[in-house]
Amino acid sequence: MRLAGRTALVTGSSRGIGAAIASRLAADGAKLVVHARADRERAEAVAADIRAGGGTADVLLGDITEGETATGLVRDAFAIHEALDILVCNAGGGKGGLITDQPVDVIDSVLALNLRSTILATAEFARLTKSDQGRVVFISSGMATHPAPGVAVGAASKAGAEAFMRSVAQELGPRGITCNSVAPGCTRTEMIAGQTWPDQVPPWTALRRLGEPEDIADVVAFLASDEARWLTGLTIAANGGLVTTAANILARAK
Amino acid sequence: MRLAGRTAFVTGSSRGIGAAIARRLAADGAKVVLHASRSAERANEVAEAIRAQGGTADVVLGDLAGGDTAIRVMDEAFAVHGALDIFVSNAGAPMSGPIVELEPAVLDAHLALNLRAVILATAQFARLTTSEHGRVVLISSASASQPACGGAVYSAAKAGAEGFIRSAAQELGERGITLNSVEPGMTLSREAPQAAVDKIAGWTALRRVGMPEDIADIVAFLASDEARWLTGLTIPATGGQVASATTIFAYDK
Repeated sequence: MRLAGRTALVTGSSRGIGAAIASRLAADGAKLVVHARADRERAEAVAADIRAGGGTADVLLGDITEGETATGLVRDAFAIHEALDILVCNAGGGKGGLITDQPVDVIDSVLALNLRSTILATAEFARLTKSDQGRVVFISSGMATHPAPGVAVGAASKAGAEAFMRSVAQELGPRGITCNSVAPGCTRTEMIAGQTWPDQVPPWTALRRLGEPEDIADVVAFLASDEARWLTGLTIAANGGLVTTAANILARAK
Repeated sequence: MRLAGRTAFVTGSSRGIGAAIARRLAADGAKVVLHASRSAERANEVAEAIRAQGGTADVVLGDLAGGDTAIRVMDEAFAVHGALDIFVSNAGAPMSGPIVELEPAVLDAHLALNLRAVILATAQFARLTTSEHGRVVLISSASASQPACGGAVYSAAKAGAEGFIRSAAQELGERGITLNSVEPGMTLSREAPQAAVDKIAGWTALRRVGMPEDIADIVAFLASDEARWLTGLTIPATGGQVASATTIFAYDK
C-alpha cells in the first residue's frame, strides 16, 4: 500500500469530500486523524468505517476559525503517533452573498475558515513534521479562479490560500515537502443536496456529469503519494472539464 | 495492475522521457506500442526491456513531421492490437534562436512536428478508439508558459498544442476521453552540463532537476482511472521551479 506507515490529518473530514479523502488515504495504508468542528458522532462514524476496513483512525474536534485552534489541532494530531506526513486542509465553506450585503462578521468568519486556518495549520505542520515525504494539499474551489456574483469573499479566501500554497512550496521544497491545491468544481455532497441548480452543471462539463467526492479523493491520494513527488506549488482543477466561456456556450448551442 | 488490458501508444519513445513513460505504462499492465521517427534500433531495445519484465511491446516508425504520416502512424499503432486506449503525444524537438534569423523552412518543420502532428494524431486517435477509458496526454514543456529569449517558436508550438488539447477535451469528454498536458521543466533525459543542472536546481523548490521517471509517474496517473475527473488541464511538472523577481530576491538573502 503506497501510504503504508504514513500519518495524515484531514480537516473537515466527517462528511462529503473530506470524509472521502480520509477513507481513501486510509485505504492506501495511512493512519488517519479525522477532524470535525463539533459533530463527534459523524466523525466517529467515519473513523469506525476506516477501522472496520482494517485501518487506523482517531478523531479530533475543534472550531479552527477560533484563535489558535488550527495550530492546536495540528499539534494534537501530531501527538497521536508522534508523526505527521500528510496534511489535507479541507475544512472550508461559509456564507456567500453580494458584497454590499455582507456583514463584517460573515466576512471575518469566511476568511478565518478558508484562509487563516489554512495558514496556521500549514505553518504548524511545517514546524512539527520530520517526514521525508511531507505533503500539504489544500482543497480549494473553482470559485478561486472563476468569478461569479455572490462568491467574492469566498473566492478571495480560496485564491488567497492557493497563493499561500504556491509560496510555501518554495519555502518547504528543500525539505522534500510538496504543497499543492486541488480546486473541485461542482461536487455531489450534502452541501448541494436538495437544490436544483446543480442539475444545470453537467452539460457544461466535458465529461457531462457532476463530480463525486471519490473523484476528488483519488486526485488527493495521488498528490499525497510518492508518485507525485515532482509536483509542487500547483493548483489542479478537478472539475471534469467545466468550461462556460462564451466560445463554449456558442459551440454547445449549435 | 491498474492499466491491465489497456493498450497505449507513446510517440518518441526510444529514449528519454518517452521511453520512461512507455516502461512505466507497461509496468502498470498496459500493452505498449513504441515509436521512433527513423531507426528502430533504440526503440527495439526499450521494447526488449519491457518484454523481459513480462510486458507486451511493439514498435512503429515514421517521421511525424512529414505529410500525413502522423495519421498513418496512429493507424499502425491501432492495428497492432486492434485497440488503443491511451495516446501519449511525446515526440517533439526543442529549437531556439532569435526570430529575426528564423528561416521559414525551419519554422514549418518545427510547427509540423510540435503542433501539427499532435493535432493529426489526436484526431485520428479519436476517430479510431472505442475505449471507455480513453486518455490523451501531451508532453508539452515549461517553455509553453515561461517566456525566454530565443524560445519564441518552441513556446508557440507547445502553447498551441496545449490550447488544442484544452478544446479537444470539450469535444471528446462526452465519450469519457480525457485530454491533458504535462509541462516538464528541465529533465535529465541525457547528459547535461553540471553547471546548468546546479543553476536550475537552485531555482527549484525541491532543489534538484527532473528525471524522466518523475514525469512518467505523473503520466501514469493521468492515464489511470483515478484521474477520470481531470481533463483539459495543463500540469507543470517542474519540482516548483520559479525564477520570478520575488524568488530571486528571497534566495539572494
